[in-house]
Amino acid sequence: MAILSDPRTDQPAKPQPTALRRLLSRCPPSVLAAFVAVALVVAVAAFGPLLARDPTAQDLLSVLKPPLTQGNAGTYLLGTDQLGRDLLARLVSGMRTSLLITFFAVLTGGVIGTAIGLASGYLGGRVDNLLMRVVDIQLAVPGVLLVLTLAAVLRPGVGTTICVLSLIVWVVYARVARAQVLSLRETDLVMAARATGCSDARILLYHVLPNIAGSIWVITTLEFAHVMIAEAALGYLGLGVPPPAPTLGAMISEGQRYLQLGKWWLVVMPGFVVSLTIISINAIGNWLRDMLDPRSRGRSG
Amino acid sequence: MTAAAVMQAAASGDTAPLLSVNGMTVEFGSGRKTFRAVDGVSFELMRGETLGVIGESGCGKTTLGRAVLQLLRPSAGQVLFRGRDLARLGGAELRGMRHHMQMIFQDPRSSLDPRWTVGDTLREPLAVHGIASGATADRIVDEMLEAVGLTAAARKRYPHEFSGGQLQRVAIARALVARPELVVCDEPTASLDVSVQAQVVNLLSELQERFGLTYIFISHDLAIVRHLAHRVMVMYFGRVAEILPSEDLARAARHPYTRTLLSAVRDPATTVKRRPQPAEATAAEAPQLPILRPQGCYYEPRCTHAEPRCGSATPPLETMEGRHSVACHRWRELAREAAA
Repeated sequence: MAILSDPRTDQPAKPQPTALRRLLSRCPPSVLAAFVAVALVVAVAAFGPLLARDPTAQDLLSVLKPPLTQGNAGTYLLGTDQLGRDLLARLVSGMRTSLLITFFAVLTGGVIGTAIGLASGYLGGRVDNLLMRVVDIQLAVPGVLLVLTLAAVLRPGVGTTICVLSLIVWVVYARVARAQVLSLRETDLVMAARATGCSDARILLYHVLPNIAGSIWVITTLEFAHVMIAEAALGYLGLGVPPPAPTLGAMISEGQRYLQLGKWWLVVMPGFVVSLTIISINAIGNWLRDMLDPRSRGRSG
Repeated sequence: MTAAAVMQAAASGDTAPLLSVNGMTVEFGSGRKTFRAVDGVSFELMRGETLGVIGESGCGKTTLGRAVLQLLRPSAGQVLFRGRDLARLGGAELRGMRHHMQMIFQDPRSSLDPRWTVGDTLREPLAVHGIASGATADRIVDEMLEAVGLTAAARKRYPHEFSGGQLQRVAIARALVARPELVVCDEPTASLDVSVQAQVVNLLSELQERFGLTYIFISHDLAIVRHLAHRVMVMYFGRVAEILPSEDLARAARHPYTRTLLSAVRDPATTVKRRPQPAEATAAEAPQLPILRPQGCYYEPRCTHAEPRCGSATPPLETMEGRHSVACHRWRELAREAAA
C-alpha cells in the first residue's frame, strides 16, 4: 500500500510554519497583490484620518484645483473639491466610513442570513415554508426601494445605514445557504454523520457549514462589492451618513457634476479606491474558495 | 463464529436475539401516492451472526438497512435492539444507541467528509459518544487504523489522497471505532474493483471475529453474500421472499425468485447447473409495478410457476424447516418437484 512508504511521513517532524504563513506562501502573485492592496486600503482607512488634514476644512481660494496644487494649507496632493476641501483628506476619511459600514453590514447580514438558511434548509417543513415566504416577500420588494424607504424614515447615521444595508444582504445568504443545505441534506455525508450519532447542531456546524463555506465566501466577496455600491447609492441620494462627513459614494456622486468641466480627479480618485478594493476582494475570495476545498488544493505544501 | 456455533447458541437459548425486527414497513410519500419500499419485514439476528440481504436494485435493501438504524423512520413495526424499540426512540436516546450500531456506506468518497482528515473523522464517534479524547482518542484511532490495515500515517491525510479500497478501509474503521455491536454494511464492495472487493470482504469477516460483530450485509452480489453471510434474506419489491442459511442456498432454495437469482450467477463454483430453461425467458421481462396490485404475490407477473391464487392472495412467510422460511404459495409442490 502506497501509504506505507511515503517519504513525507517517514521524515522526522520539521518545525511547522504557522498556518497563515503556509497559506500565504502558496498563493499566486495576483492574489498576493490583492492582499497587499486590501491591506493598504484597510491601513489607510484605519490610520490615514489621523495623519491627513481635516476633511471638512474649506479653502475657498483654491476650489476645484487639480492634484499637486499649492494652496493655503500646503500642497493638495489629490487636489480639492468644489468647496476647496482637501480631496486626500476626504478620500481617506470616506474610505474609513465606507469600509466600516460595508464590513459590518455584510457581517450582520451574512451571519443572520446563513443561520436562517441553514435552519430553513435542514429543518424543512413548516419552518422552511415560513422563512422562505419571508425571503420571497423581501425579494418582491426592490432592495434599493426598501433601503431608501427605511433610510428616509429612520434617523440617518452610521448605525442606521448598517442595519438597512444588512437587510438586502441576508436574503442572498439565506437563499444560497438553504439551497446548498438542501442538496447536502440527502447526501451520504450527512447520513453518515447521523449514523455516527452526531446531533443536528453538530452536523450543521461541523459538516454542513464547512462544506458550503466556499459558496459563502464567494457570495461574501460579491456582496461586499454590492453593499459598497449600495452604500455609495445611499450617499449619492443623500440618505447615507449625512454630510459633511465624506463617504466614497457621496464623493463620486458629487464629483460627477464636475466631470463635464474636466475636473476628473473628483470622480477618479474615489472611484479608483472603490474599484481597487472590490477587485482585490473578489480575487482573494476566488482564491480562498479554492483553498478551502482540499480536493482542489495542491498536494505539495 | 461459525454458522454452526451461532445455531448452537440459538438452540441452547442462552442468547436472546441481538436484533429483532417485527413487521417493519417503510413508506415514502403520502395519500394515494404512497410507495411501500419495505413491506412488513420481520427477522431476528443473533449476536455474531451475519445476515446477507440480497435482491435486485430498488427492491428496498438499502431502505431496509437504513430503517433498521432509524436513518429512515419506519411507518410501522418494531425494531428491538438491546431491549429497546428503536422505532419509538428519538432525539438524544436514539443518538445514544448509535454508539452500539453503525453503518458502512456503499461509497466512501461520498460518506466521508472531504474536508476532514481521516484522524478527525475517526475521532468524531469517540467525541460524540464521550468515549475518549486527546491522546487516548489518538491511540484508539491508531489501533483502529492498524486493525483495518492502514498505518497511523493515514491519520493526517484527507480522503482524496486515498484509493477506493483504502478509503473503504477508513470507512470501516470509522464505523468500528466506537466498538458497535451491530454494523449495517450497505453494499460496501459495490464501488470497488473486483480485486479489492475480496480484500474488503476478508477484512470484514476478520474484524467480525476479532470484535464479535453482528452484520447486516446488503449486497446484490450473491457470491459475496454466500461467502460472508450465515443466513441470506432474499428481498423482492420490499417483501421477504425467502430466508435461509447460506450453505443451503443452492440446495434448498425454494422460492422461484431465489432460483432465478441463483441461475443468473455466472460462478463456476455455483452448484446450480445452468440448463437452458425456456420458462426462464419470462423472468427477464420488466416487472409490472406492484403498487397497483397490493394483494397477491409481487413476483407473480414474472413467475414461471404462477397460479391464479398467486395473483389474489399475498403468500405469508412460512417456516419450512428450522431456519428456512419462504413466502410462496407453492413451495410444497416445488419442493416435491425438486425432490423427484
